[in-house]
Parts: sequence; C-alpha cells; structure tokens
Amino acid sequence: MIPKIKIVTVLIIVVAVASIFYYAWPKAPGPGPVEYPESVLSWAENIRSKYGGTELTVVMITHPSTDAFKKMIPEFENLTGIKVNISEYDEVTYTDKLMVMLGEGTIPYDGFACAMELLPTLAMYPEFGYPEMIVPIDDFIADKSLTPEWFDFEDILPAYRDIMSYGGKTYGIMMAGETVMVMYRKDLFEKYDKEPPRTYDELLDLAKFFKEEVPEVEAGVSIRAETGFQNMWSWGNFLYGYGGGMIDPTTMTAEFNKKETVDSLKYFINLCEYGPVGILGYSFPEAWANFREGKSAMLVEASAACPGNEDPEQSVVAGKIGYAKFPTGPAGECAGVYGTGILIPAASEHKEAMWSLIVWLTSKYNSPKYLEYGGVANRVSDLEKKTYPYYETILKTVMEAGNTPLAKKMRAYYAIGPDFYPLWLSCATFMGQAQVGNITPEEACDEMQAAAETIIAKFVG
Amino acid sequence: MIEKWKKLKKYYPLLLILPAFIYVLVWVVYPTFLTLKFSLSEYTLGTPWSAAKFVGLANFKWVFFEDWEFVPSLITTLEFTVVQVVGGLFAGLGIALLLNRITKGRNLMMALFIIPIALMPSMVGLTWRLFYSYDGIVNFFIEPLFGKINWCSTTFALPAILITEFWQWTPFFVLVFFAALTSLPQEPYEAAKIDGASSWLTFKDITLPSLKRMILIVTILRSIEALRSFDIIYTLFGGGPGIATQTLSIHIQRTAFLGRMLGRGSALSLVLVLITLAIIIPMMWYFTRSRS
Amino acid sequence: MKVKFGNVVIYVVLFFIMLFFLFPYFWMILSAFKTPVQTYAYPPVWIFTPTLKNFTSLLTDYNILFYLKNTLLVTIPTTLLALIIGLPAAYSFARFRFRFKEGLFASFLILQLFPSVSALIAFYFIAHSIGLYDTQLMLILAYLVWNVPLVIWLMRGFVEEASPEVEESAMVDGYSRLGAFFRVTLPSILPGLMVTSILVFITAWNEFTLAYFLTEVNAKTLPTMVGLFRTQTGTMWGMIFGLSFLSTLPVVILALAIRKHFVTGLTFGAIKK
Repeated sequence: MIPKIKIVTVLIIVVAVASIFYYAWPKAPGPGPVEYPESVLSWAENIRSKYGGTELTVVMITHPSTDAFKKMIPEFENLTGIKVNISEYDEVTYTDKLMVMLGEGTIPYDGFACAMELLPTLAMYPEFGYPEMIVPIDDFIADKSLTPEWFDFEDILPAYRDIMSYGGKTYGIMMAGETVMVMYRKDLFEKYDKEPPRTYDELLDLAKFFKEEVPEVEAGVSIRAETGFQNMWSWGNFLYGYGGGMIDPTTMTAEFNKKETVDSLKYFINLCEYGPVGILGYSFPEAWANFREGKSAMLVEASAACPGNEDPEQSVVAGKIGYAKFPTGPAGECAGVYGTGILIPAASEHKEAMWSLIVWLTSKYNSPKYLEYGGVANRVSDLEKKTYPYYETILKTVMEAGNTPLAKKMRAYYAIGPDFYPLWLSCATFMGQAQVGNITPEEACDEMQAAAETIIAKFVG
Repeated sequence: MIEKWKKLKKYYPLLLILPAFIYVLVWVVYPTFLTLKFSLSEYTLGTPWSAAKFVGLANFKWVFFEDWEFVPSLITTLEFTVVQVVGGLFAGLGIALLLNRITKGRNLMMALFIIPIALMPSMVGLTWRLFYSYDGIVNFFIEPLFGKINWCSTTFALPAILITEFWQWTPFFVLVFFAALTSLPQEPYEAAKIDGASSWLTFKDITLPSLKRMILIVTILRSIEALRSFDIIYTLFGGGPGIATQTLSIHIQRTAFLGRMLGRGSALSLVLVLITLAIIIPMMWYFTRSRS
Repeated sequence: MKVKFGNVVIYVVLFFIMLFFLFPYFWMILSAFKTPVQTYAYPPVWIFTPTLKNFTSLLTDYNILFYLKNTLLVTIPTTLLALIIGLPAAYSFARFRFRFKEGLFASFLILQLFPSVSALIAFYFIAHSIGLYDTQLMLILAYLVWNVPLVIWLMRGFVEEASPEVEESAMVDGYSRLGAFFRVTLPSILPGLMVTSILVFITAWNEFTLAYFLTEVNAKTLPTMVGLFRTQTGTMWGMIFGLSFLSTLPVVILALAIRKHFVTGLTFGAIKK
C-alpha cells in the first residue's frame, strides 16, 4: 500500500512542478511601442515631471472594467513614471470591509471603487460632523494641465455623471455604468407576432402570455426576487414609474403606504408569478442563467448582463436576443441608472497623481483600447457606434428615461444618509414576507411606512 | 532548591494548561469588550467609531420585546441545531461502527470521508445552491420518483439546508468516532465473544460506555457550531424565502451588515452566546459527572 | 473462503453512503471542465468535450500558486502550534486532578464564544495597532484562538481513552512522565491525534472571514479567491469548481497518505489490567 501511495504522491508533485514551469515561463514580449500623439506626450511629460516616482494604491471590485484597466496600466506607468498597485475584491465582501474601515474614520487608499448607492452618504459625512471621506474632483477636471482635451468629460453619459456627484459637486468618474432594460427573445416574439413591451401593463401581459401559452419557454420573465438587497432593487425599478415613493427627500415624509406604492408592490408580486419556479431564491446570476438557458422569454435586468447574453459559451440564446428600453409606467418614464465609479479619498496624499491615472483609464482617447479589453462603455460616443446590439438600447434608456424627474427622485433616496440603512433592511424583510404570502402587500407597505416614520422622527428630531 | 522544585511540582498540571489558557484569554478580552460596548450603544456601521452613542440596555429591550424576527429565528436555530446534532450523532456513530466491522478498505473510506469537510462551507453552500435549482442535479434524481421540487419555497428550504449541512458535517462525527473506536482496548470484546454475547449487547455494554465521554465532547462541540452555523445557510438561500431559513446567525449578519445596525447586531450575538451557554452548560455538567 | 453475508450487506450499505457523500464532489470536479452553458444545462450533461480553460486560467491569470503559498504558510504553523500548545493542556485535563479543573476546561470553549460579531472589527483594529495587518503571522495568531480549544477538547477525550495504567507501569519501569507519554501513550492516541490535526488543518485552510478582513495584498489565502469569481457579470462556476478541486486536493492527498494511522497499531491484549 505504502509504496503505491508514495509513487502517486511523487507523480503528482512532478506534474505540479512541471505545470508551474510551463505556465510561469517568461512569456513572449507584448506588442511593440505605441505611437502617441503630441497632446498625450506633453500631458504625460507634465505629469511625470510633477508626480513621477509616486506609488499609488488603488482598490477595485472584480469586474470586466477592472480587467480592462489592469491591461492599460503598464502603458500609464511607462508614460508617467507613476507606479500603480491594484487590489481587487468581490462586490459584497468589499462593501462590508469598507464599512469596517470607515469606522476608523479614513479610507487609507489613493483611489477606490465606489457604488452610486454609497457615494452620496460618503459625500455627506461632513454634514453629520464626521470626517471628510472623499474629495470633489471638479477642480481637477477644470485644470487644463491635469485634464487634457482628449479626456472629454462631457462625453460621459449625463445620468452617469449625475450619479457620481452630490450637492452639485462631482466626486468620481464612472467606470461601470449600467441601466435596467428588457431583454427578450426576438425569435419567439417574431414567431408569436409580439412587440416588445412599452408599458408596465404590456410587460405583465407578455409575461403571462409566454408563461401560459408558449411551450418553448417555461417562464414569461426572469427577474431578481431574493429577499435582501435584490428584491428591493427589483421592485425599486418599477416603484417610481408607478408614481410611488419611499421617502420624499424634500419634504421628509414617508410615501410607503401611498396607493401608488402599494399598487407597484402588487404589480411586482404579480409579475413574479409569471417567472420561473424558485424565483424567490433568484439573485442576478440565477436570473441571467435562466434566460440564457432559453427558459424564459424575457429578462428584466441591468445592462451588465448583455455581454454574457451574447457569448455562446455562456448563453444558448446568443444572437436571438432583442433589447428594449425599460417600459413606461403609469406615472411616466423612469429607468434606474446604477454604476460604480472611481473616487479619490480625502486621506490620499497623491490626489493629483491618482487623478492622472483616472484620466488615463477613462479618457475618450483610450476608449477604443478599453472597450477592446472588455470594459463597459460609459460614453455617448462609444454607445453611438452601436458596436453591439444592446448599445443603442442602453443609450436610449439612459438618455430618455434615465434623467427624468422620476429617475432623479429614485436616486435621491440614496442621498438621505446613513441613518436610513436600517430602513432598507426592514423593507426587504417585509417585502419578502409579502412575496411568500405571509402578509398582504398593503400590510407590508404599512409596516414599511411605520418603520420609515420612526426613523424620520429620529432623524429630524 | 529541592523544596522549590517540590513546590512547583504541585502546580505541574496547571503549568501544562497555563500557556493555552493565557493565550486564548488574551486574545478574547478585547473583542469581548468591543461586543459588549457595541451592544450597549447605537452605532451605524460605516460611520466613525467615535459616533457610537451609549444607549444602555435599549438594544436588549429591542431584541426581547420589539424584534418580531427574534422568536422565529430562534425557533429555526433550535430546530436546525437539534436535527444536526441528533442526526449527526446517529449517522456518524452508525457509519463509524460499520467501518469498524470490516477490515478491507476501511482506511481508504475513512480518508475519503474527509472530502465533505475539506470543502469550504461557502463553496458547499454555493454548489448546493446550484444543485437545488429547479433544473438542478438534485431534481434530476428526484424527478422520476416525486417530480421536480421547488427547493426555494417555504416548505422545502429548511429541509434543503438541513440536508446540505448534514452532508458536510457528518464526516466530522464519523472521523472522530472511528478514531475513538479503533483506540478502544480489545480485551473486553474478546471476553464478550468468548461469553457468546450478541453484537447488540456488546455495543450496549462495552462500546457505548467507553465512548460516552467522546460522544459528549463531540455533541458539545457540534452544538456550538450548529448554533452559530452561517456560511452554508447564507449562501444557500440567504435566510429566505422570506425568513423561512433565517437562523439567529443570519439575523445577526443582516442586522449588522445589511441594516448596518451594529449595536443591535452585537446585542443579538450576545443573546445567542447566552442561549448557547444555556444549552451546553448542562451538557458540560453532565460530562463532569460522567467519570469513565 | 466463506464470504460472510453480513459483511456483504455492510459493504453494500457503505457503498451507498459513500455515494451520497462523494457524488457532489465528483459532480463538482466534472463541472470544473465545463463551460457555463454546460453547467446550467438540464438534463445534466454527463458526457461532453472537457475544457481545461478554467484550470489554466487559475494558474496563469489568477496566480493561484501565490494564494496556495500563503495558505500553506498559515495552515501548517497553525496546526503545529495548536498541537504544541493544546496537547499538554489536554493531557493535563485527562490525567490529573486539581481544583477548578472542569471550570478551566469549560472556559476554553466558553471564552471563544464571546467575540462573535465584533471579532472581525476587534481583530482588524488589533492587526493595525500592532502592525501585523496583511501578514500571515496575524492569521496564525487569530486562528490559534479557536483551534487551541478544539485541540484541547478533542484530545482530552482521546487521551482519556488510553488507559493510564500502561503509562504508570512504564513510569515504574523508570521512564519519566514525558518519556512514558512518548513511548506508550502517543502510539495509542495516534488515530485521535491524526484526526484532530486534520480537522485543525482543514479549519485553518478554509477559514474565510478573518482571512478576508485581515489581509490586503501580501497574505491573501486560497479562500479569498472565491470572491474573484462572483463578478458583476455572473458567477464563474467553472473557476469556482476548479478552485474547489485544487484547494481540496492537498488535504485529500494528505489524508490518503496518512490513512494507515487512523487505526492504532498497538494491540492491547498483551498488557494485563
């Protein structure tokens, strides 16, 4: 017995060592030196003379855009002489870790990725008497020596710029912007002579139709419904278009038990009934997988799903997908706009150098490379090129439905402050109870209303 | 000199324990202090620690009188723990006994039993989440018998997490019991064989008493872990659907990290500690009394 | 050769039990060679053209060897130190009688209950204060807090099983207590020692939360890699399964290699009580 094990062990070690050598062997050198235009070289020269030799520590989330950035960094380092260290985290645990760090009162990096949900709260800290966490970057943008012509700030989608700012000041540059759309099976819609939904009611009718009458799919619509962050996110996309609201930031009143809010919850629960079995456990991976396996006719999801939808290794319905703007609700157009951007912490001692890195990574000049490496498009000029079938829809959704007053009201919720995190949790739990049928939507909304009013009273008082 | 040595010898047993005790004590002090401090404060995670406001016992009042999720979570936790401990004991002991009866291949099987516990709990949760999907491998095997089951429903979510946790942890019982069984002295068994005792009697009168202490130790250890089990339950259904699979540890996580209410979360976790103590202290007392 | 019917039944039962406990692992490994489409397919895909992309990606793009190195640097010292610190205490509890014995014994388990939710924050703060943030040493120190009590509790049970009389007779023959322990007791508690070591090893190897919060760049261990595959563009199942497989491989090989020692080599029949 023992000699046999020894042989097996030795064999395994040999294979392991061999693979290490094979894969760690120095790779062939990359492409030759790039020709840069004069404006780039003079900018780089300026940066190098002032900040060359600095070392930057940047924290990012795991994301295709981050992968694209990592490929663009060697050029930056060569041009400016600034060294960049990037560490990556998955989104959920990253937020938890950030929360713990914030306890110490400082973000100890030169740059970090921040989701639009968190940005307003961080920007508001001085108003609460907490230390400053992030710094506005408007001055950097205006400084011509730091921000060259080929960066083109205005080219970034207006709604994306909006969610990266607070109180009129810009705090970050969008790296992975997204919006919510309806993705549908073009082939099935053609076969059954259906048009993509333009209103909430049409969406519901189509979902019902495809679930009940179409044998090719098992569900009408695939959507996130898991209790926690996900179900609130999903419902939130429909809530404001119904005319409902959570907390009106201008009047500081709770709107959970307004008729429109209750109706929107009923609508959402209704919509889920035409979804796949087990939808109550669906976070975005499950929702996407269901659609990509061809089991549902529609997918209501963030545009981050698009690239994978069209990848044959991930999706059996690649090439058969149509993309529609998020439908209009009874109260008007309102599409959720989300995203993660790169921000500069107040504690950074190399703010200008960090800004030059951001300029390099997100500029219009570098956009072709960035997109080629797999980055998410955030610029009007890129989306207008219609490189992919979904670009046009993303542009349309964000431009037309992403900056309406309703959409702005939706985003204003995040600008209320850290005292309102508990509200999100209560709402998610009560919504979950309504989804499983333990309480009615009316009761759920009443509970949310009560919770909101308690917090408002404490906040105002 | 010899006098000093003799005096020290008296403390010999304690000296063997001292390094371990001091080590654990030292590291536990500050975290415990922090938990206590937060449990008496109102503190939003993500704000500076200095912003924590002292509120006395308000958080505990909330736990016992205002938190409607406390009792359901407590019940789920207790159900979960009982099933895991009792199920694991029976299954683990049973399998270990079976392994002990055969001679060929038992070491190999024992070694392979490592596999479920060698996997990361969150990995196990993630994988079984995939398995439990409506079009997953579990339903594939069940379909011919019962038809496909919606595992993410209020009826089946709890059984799902019970099965998965059982899958990962039973090997713990098997390994410990098997090691204990093979270390038992052989003469009583030989004597019993000569006397012609049945295997059930042998088990009842020889094996079981010899294993009693080990069984208690393992029960106490597993109870503690089951009461605070988190990764598998969280990655499987996140405590859902609704709060169908929400145990106290999930409730604590959601309160402290999703709701960012660290004060209440800390109070809840201290309550969980007290509940754990209430359960294991009687077991420990019984252990003390059961001299072998 | 008479084949005992009872034995056959036992083997059959054990076969099905092993099937239950091992099938998911087998399925995970199989799926590590699949594309995402094949992973989600229903009916499940058994025969397909495998792809090595996941494994090669783990090695080159994700640099898994770096994480492996860190995990080894943390796990092996933790296991050894936990045994060195815990075993004497376990022996003491098993053999001697003294005041506060059971209280002390219980306290090992009770003490490590209290940190709970704030353990994370507390250790994070401590790590920064003593300058050990993002080091393997910090992880070792933290892991010992939970593993030493585990060693003490499990090994006490195993040492108690080994009869003290045998030790006594060895000491009568002239060995010191330590010598008697090594000569006589150790061989008989070897199975228990092996099991305890493996359990500690696994606990340290798989620990995620503290590893995530207490490291940044230098000391990241294998469990922290899981986060890299739960991206905004979906869960990369093939990578996760590949990581699972590679991560459990060392432990499984170790267990297989030392499995002879799960059974004690001594026969007690020789020594009369």
